[in-house]
Amino acid sequence: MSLAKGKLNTPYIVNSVNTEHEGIREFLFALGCYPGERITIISKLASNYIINIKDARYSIDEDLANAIMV
Amino acid sequence: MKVALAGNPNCGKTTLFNAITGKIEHVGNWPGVTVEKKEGKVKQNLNPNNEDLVVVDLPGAYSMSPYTSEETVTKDFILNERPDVIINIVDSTNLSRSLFFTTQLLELGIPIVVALNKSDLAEKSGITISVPLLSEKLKCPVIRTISTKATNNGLPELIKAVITAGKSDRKQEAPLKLVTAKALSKEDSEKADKKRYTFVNALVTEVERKKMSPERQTIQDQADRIITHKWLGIPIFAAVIYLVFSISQSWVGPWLADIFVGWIDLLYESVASLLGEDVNPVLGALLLDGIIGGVGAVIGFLPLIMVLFFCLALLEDSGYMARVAIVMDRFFKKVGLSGRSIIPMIVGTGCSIPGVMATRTIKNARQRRTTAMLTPFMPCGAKLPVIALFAGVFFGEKAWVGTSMYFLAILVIIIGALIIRQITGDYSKSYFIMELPKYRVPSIKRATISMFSRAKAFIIKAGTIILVCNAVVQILQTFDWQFQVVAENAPETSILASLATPLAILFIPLGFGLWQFAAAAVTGFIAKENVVGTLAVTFAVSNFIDTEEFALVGGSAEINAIFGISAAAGLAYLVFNLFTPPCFAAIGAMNSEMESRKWLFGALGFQLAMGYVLAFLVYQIGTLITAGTLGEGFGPGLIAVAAIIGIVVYLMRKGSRNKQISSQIQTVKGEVKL
Amino acid sequence: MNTIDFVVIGVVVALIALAVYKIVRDKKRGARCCGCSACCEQSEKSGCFDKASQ
Repeated sequence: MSLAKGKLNTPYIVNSVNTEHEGIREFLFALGCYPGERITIISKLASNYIINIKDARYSIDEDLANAIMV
Repeated sequence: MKVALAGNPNCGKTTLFNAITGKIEHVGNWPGVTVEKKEGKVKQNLNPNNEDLVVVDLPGAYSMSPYTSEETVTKDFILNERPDVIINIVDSTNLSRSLFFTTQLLELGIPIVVALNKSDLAEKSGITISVPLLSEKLKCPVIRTISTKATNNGLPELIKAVITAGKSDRKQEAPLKLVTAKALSKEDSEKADKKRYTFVNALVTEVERKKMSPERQTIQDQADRIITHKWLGIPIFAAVIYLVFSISQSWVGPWLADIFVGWIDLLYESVASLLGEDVNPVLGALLLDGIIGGVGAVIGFLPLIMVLFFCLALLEDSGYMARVAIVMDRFFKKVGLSGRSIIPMIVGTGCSIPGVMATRTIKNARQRRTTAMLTPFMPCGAKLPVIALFAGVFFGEKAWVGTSMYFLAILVIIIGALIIRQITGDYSKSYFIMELPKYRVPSIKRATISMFSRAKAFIIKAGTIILVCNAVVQILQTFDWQFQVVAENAPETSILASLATPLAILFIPLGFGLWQFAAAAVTGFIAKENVVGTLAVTFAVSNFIDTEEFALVGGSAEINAIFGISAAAGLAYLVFNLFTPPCFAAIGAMNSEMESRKWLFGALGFQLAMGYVLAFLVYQIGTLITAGTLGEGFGPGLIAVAAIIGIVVYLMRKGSRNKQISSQIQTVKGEVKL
Repeated sequence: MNTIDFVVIGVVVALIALAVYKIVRDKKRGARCCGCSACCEQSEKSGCFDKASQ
C-alpha cells in the first residue's frame, strides 16, 4: 500500500517508489529511503506528511506519499 | 595546500567554515549554482606553523551520483582543481545519511579527514559514537567537532589532522571498492549505491549507540503539529511577523532611532554653523539639505532595520522558517507552485537579489520564472524605510501597517502565480520534500553578526548610491532650464519638477499626483531607499524621526501637512512603491533568471500593472471609506485599470486554449536556511 | 563666491567622487548581491540546494 494510507508512529518498510520521474527515486535513495529501509510517519498535516527516514525528519506532500509504497 | 569542505546540507558546514577561516574571499560562482564560491585562509591561531592553508567551501550535497545532480559540482571541482585534502563534515545526529556521502568521497583517492560535527547535540540526544572504530573502518582520521563553540571545539585537532594528511604521500584508500566511473549505467549506479548503504548500515550498527529511537514522536514534533497545523499555522505565522514588526517599529527600534537621529541633527547644526552666513545658498542647501538631509533621512531608519534583521535572523536560526514553507505549501500548490518557492521569497525579505537568484534551483521553468518575478513583491530591506516612513507619518507607526504589507505581498503573490499559470497554460506539478531541522535556540551571536553586516552594507549604500542620487535631485530641483536658481514661490519650474510633472499626472487617480512623489518613485528604481531620500530633499524635510518625541508621531503631523495628501493616498503611495518593479539591480537578477526577453518584459509589465492597479484600488476605496467620496481622477484611472485588467484577462483566455497538462516532478532538497 | 563656497564645493565633490569610486569598484567585483553582505551568506545557505536539489 502507499505510505499515504499508513498509520502514525508505525515503522514501515519501503517497498518501492512508484513514479516515472527522473531523479526522485535516486534522491530519496541518497536520503536513505529505498527498498528495505524503515520509514515512519510522524504527523499528518493538511496535505503534508512529516516522515522520518534514518535519523532525520522530512516534510513531503501527499503526491509523494502516494508514490512511496510500503 | 588547498582544502575542500564537503558535506550534507545543514551539517554545520558554513559555521565550521566561518570558524576556521579568517579573511573570506568570494571568488565567483559555482557553475549553475547560486552559491558563491568562497575561499578563505585558515585562521592564525589554528595554524601555528603558518602553513599555506586555503579552504574552499563546496555546496552541500547528499550524493555525488550523476542521477541526483545535474552537474556534480563537488566531483567536478575535485577533478579539476585537485584539492590536497577534503574535510568531510558529518552530522553526528544523522550518521548513516552523512556516511553515504562519505563513502563516495573516500573513493576519490584524495585524503579525507572526517569532522564529526554537532557532537554536542548528538551527546544530548543520547547518541554515542566510537571514534576510533569509525576511523578504523573508514580508513581515515575522524575528529569530533562542535563548530558552534568558541573553544574546546575540536578545530585545532582538525586542522592538525588536515595538515598531516595533506603532507603525507599516502593515497586515500576506499573501504569499499566501488568505482564512481562516469559511464556507469543507471542500474549499476543503483547497485553500487545499495552496496554503499549496506556497508554504511553495518558500520553504523557497530560504532553507534542510541538511547532513543528517532521514530518516536518528541515534544518538538508535537509543537510542529500545532505550528504547521492546517488552520492554526497561518495565524501563528501572522502573530510571529506582527511581533517582529512591533519590536522593531514600535518598541526597541524607535528608541534607538531617537538617539541616532539626535546625532544626525547635531551634525546638521554644526555644519550649518560652520558654513555661516556667507555661504552661497545653493551650495549650502546642496550640502545641508541635499546631502546631509537626504542621506540623514535614510540613515535615520537604520536602527529600525537593524532590529528587524536581528529578529529575522533569530527566527531563521531557530528553524521556524522551514515550517513556514510547509504551511505555505498547501496554498502554493493550489496556484501551481510548491512550498519550494517560499524560500526565495523568504530570502527576499532581506534583499530581492539573492532571493531571485535562489530560484535557480527550481527545475520547472514556469515555476522558476514565476517565483523569480513574484519574489520582489516581498518587501525587502530597502523598502523598510519606506514602510516605516509612511506607517509613521500617516498611521502613528502602528505595526499593523508593516505586517499587512507582508501579507498583502503573499496574497498578491498567490494571485499572481494563478494568473501566470493561466496565461502560460503550464499546469505541471512538483513534488515537495524538505528536510525539517530540529528546532534550536537561536544564536544571539550569529544574529548580531548578521545584523551588523547588514548595517554596514546599508551605511555604505547610503553613503554612495543614495548620496549621489540625493545630490543630483537637490541640484535638479534648485535650477530651472536656464540654469537660474528657482524662485522660492515657484518650485515647479525646476528641472526636476518639470520632468516629473508629466509622470505625476498619471498618478492623480492614485492620489499622489504631485511631482515630488513621482520623482521619488523614479529614484526608487535606483534604490528603494531613495524614495525616502528624495521625498526628504524635495519636501525639504531634514529628518523624519522627531527627536522630541519617541518616534515619528510627534513630527508626523507636520510631515503630514507638508506632504499634503490624505492617509488613503499615503497608503496608496506605499503600496505603489512596494509592488512596482524592484530596483535596477534586482531587475538585473530577474533578467538572468528569466532567460527570455519575453518573460522579462512580461514580468516588468506585470509588476508595473500590479503597482498601479493596487494603488488605485487602495486610494479610491480608501477615500470612499474615509471621506465618502471618490478620489480625484477616478474616471481616467478606472479606464486605465480596466484596460490593464482587460489585457490580463485576454492573455488568460488565450492561455487556457493552449493548456497542456504535464506532470513534471521535482523535489525540494535541503532545508530553509537564510 | 567666498572661500567657504570653495570649501563646500570641495567637500561635495570629494563625497561624490568617493561614492562613485566605491560604486564602480563594487561593480567590478561583480555587483555583489545588493550591497548587503548578509545576502551572500543567505544565498550560500539557501543556494545550498544547488542544482542537485531538484
